[in-house]
Amino acid sequence: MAQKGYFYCPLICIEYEIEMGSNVKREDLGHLLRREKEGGSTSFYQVVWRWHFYAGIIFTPFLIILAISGATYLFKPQIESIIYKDKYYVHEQGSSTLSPSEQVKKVKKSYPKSSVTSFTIYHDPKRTTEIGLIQGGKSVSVYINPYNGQIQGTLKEDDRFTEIFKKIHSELWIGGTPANRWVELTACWAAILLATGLYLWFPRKKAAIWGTLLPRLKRTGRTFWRDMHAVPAFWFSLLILSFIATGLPWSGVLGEEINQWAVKPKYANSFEEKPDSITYTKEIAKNIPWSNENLPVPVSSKGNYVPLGIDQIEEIAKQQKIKKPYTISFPENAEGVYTLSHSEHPTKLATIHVDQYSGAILSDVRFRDFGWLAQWIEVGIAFHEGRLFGLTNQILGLIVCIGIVGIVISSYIMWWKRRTTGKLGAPARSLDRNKTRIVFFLMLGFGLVMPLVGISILGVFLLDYFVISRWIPLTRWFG
Amino acid sequence: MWKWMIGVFVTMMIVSTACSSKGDKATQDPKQQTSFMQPIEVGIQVPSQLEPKKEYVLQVHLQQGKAAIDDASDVQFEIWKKDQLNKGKKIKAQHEQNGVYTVKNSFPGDGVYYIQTHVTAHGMHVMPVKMVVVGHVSEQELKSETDQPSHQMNGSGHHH
Repeated sequence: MAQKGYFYCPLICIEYEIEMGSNVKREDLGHLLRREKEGGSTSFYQVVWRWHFYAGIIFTPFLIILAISGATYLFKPQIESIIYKDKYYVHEQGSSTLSPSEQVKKVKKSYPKSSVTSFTIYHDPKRTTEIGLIQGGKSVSVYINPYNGQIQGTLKEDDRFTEIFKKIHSELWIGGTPANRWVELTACWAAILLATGLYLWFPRKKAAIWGTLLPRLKRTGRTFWRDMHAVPAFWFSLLILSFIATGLPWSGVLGEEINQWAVKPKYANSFEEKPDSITYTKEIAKNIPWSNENLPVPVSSKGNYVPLGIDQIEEIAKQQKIKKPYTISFPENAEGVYTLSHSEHPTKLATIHVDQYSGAILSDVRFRDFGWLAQWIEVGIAFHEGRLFGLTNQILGLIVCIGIVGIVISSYIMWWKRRTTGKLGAPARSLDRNKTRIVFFLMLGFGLVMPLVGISILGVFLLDYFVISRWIPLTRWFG
Repeated sequence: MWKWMIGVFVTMMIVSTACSSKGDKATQDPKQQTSFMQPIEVGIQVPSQLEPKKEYVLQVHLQQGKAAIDDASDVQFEIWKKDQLNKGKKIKAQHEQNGVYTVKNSFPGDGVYYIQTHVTAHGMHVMPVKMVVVGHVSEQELKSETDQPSHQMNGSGHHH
């Protein structure tokens, strides 16, 4: 007869007897298997608390990083207009501007080895024109005074000060796909922290204002810090959730899926000859709205024509009433198109592909052409970036970021006060196996909606099964 | 029971991933996109050999999809000599038949010229440019032209 072993996963809190594969005996786990009369709990509360605790321990350090980098990046326009003042603004506004082609010509003269890729015109008449170059494989922006043609400076895209915060916020500075996935995972688990936290916050016995809607300030110790954690977290929950939700469209896994759902290609204009491979707009042009990133790029007509110059493309932009600031991205090759794009005001978003020879509008997709879901997502993205309703929006974002940091700090203090030495200080597991499993499957339910969450839960399960559960001191430490 | 449920979950994960990758393929299939706009195609036809001070008929053929455009609201030819866009002229074209519109024009002297047709039809505007050589032009001038054609025609100077 096969040897009976006892199997226990401390992280996920699942225990059961198995035939083989475990050398842990039930007696070894005696310390974990408290009876109800010894003060153990069988409630759902206990199970949810444990999930909330572990998710918090793992993801809150990253949540703080995201909150601080995000809060800084929110103020990108203000920060950049101060530190790049000499590059961004002209000293004196002239009466007439040089044509775009004249400006491009001047830039080409100064940077003969570079190729011009884009041309951005701003709304503010005091702003310089931003001309994008590729210089030795790197993206560089040149700022030229449109009134006198004087080049006021250059900026390498990677060296931009605010780019540091963007890089931290989107890929934890280290960069690459794993870091980007980890950010997504943090955002998803933050949503679960909110859901489980709200469950824990909800009054279990009778509704009381103090400790629920208002903190019990006169209490001391853990109760005080519990209120400083749970009460503000409740008030912030909706705002935090909206910032998480509006950030997810950028994520690599869930975001791509949202994009597939929200952006149906029904409005994409077809062109006569179907290309063998599709180029997407985000690959060839700058400052593209989220909804148009995967818009297929048409090809310019073949024929013995002279390519149009940027002045005529600017004329088309005026005729098409594209809102400033807009960017004209240059064709990459003989088949390429000019791409006009506005990506700032959600309801004015536009991406227009223009045949570089005839000036024909090959594809014109604006906010009004988006599906309702894409429209809402665009509004959400603008909200997330703090450009939906100006300074108020930015300050709201800042308050939420401060709130997140505060909630995390108070949670650490709570944990520290409860913690006993030599142990992680996790909440004791529930004694009710069925409730433990029900919650586990509810969590897997989140995992189906957010694929990375599902993968991470399975990962933790495997870690539990193969590593932690086989090492008694470790199971004791995890509690 | 426990193992069985994990099994179900893993299967669901795989199915959902498979579904979304199927979705990818659907959007990548260009045939699924419906056509909203068909661009106007413009064919500018000029005699292969041009001499100065002789009158020529310049033609432009318009079509959308496979149908000729007979009801263009405006067709104009803009013709200018290299580097002299400001001195260029605009001539309104006459509709002949089957989407062919023509103007009569003579070039004042030797040189490189640009012919641009401004076409407004069916709510769209297109304006392709063709480069032509009239009479004798030195190799060098021709070469300087074809290197960067797009910037030669933009010397319109100040605006706003």
